[in-house]
Amino acid sequence: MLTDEQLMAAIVNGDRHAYAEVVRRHARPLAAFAWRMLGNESEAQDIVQETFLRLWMQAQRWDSQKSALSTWLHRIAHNLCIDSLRKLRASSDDDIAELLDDRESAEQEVSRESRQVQLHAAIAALPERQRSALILTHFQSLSNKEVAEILDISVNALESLLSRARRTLKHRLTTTELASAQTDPRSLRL
Amino acid sequence: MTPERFTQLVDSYGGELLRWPESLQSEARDCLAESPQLGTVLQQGAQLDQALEYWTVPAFAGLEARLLQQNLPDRQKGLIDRMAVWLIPLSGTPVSWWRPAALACLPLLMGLLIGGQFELIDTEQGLSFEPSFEQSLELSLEEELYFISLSDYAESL
Repeated sequence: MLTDEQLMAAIVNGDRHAYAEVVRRHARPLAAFAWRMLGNESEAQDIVQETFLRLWMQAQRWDSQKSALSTWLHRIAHNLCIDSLRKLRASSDDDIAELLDDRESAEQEVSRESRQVQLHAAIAALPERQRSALILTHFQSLSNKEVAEILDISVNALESLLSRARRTLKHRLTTTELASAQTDPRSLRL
Repeated sequence: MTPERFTQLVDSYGGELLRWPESLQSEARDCLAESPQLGTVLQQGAQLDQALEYWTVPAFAGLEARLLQQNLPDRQKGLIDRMAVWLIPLSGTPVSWWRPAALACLPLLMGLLIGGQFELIDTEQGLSFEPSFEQSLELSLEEELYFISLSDYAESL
């Protein structure tokens, strides 16, 4: 099996089979990351498409000595997600968390789905960098050094972001769970 | 690892030691063995990890097909780019050190080639380069025709 380095060298020479193999290896984790950042499947797929277009056009800029391909792709996707979130915020006064809250109220009947929406809303309400740190560290199977590199911060700063993110999230979820528990005591989990 | 550091790490990485940086896991287990009361801290951290497990992602149907069918621009590079890649291979390909050396030798070879067409002549004004003797003997077509016509004229006389 070819390594990422060999595939990228082939992509630099315009090899579309190598591109297809990189897509098979890396597209889904990136889509999951973008979806968790944006909360919208269609936008997440757009982000992944743009990420791979950049990979195709700028493959020569990746340096295997500096970072793993997965880290490089996450960095591109992360920057695109942040741009997208800022555009979304600029175009609408509604915060993404409020949008998710609307969805939440519509789906309250289904417990598991409601819990997922609550979770999504709570994470979406976190400050951008805390959200990125939490998603990259907890869900993307990246090491703390890789996440620090993607966010362009030190490992100590990453730990601080994670600590604040988890504390806030726990507080928000506990508040939500307590509110839910008043109507359904079985829903209390935190 | 101190209990304070252990607690900080639970705050950052949660209550599942396997999710912690590998370099810290062994130390954390030792710390936990020495201070069993930290197990409570770990359990509290794990509650949030369990809640996060509910956050599942969609199936992303047709994602790969969409990426493979997108219209990729041609990656044909310009001459300078191709030359640069030939000289300094990209990461992941073996480095050929002789390539930059060969390129550096090109001006030398050109100089030798051009220099071979001239010879150093000692004139009254000093040394000067002139086209080599063999080259100066070569006649142009017009000059050859001119001499042939002179020869025919001489024979007819």
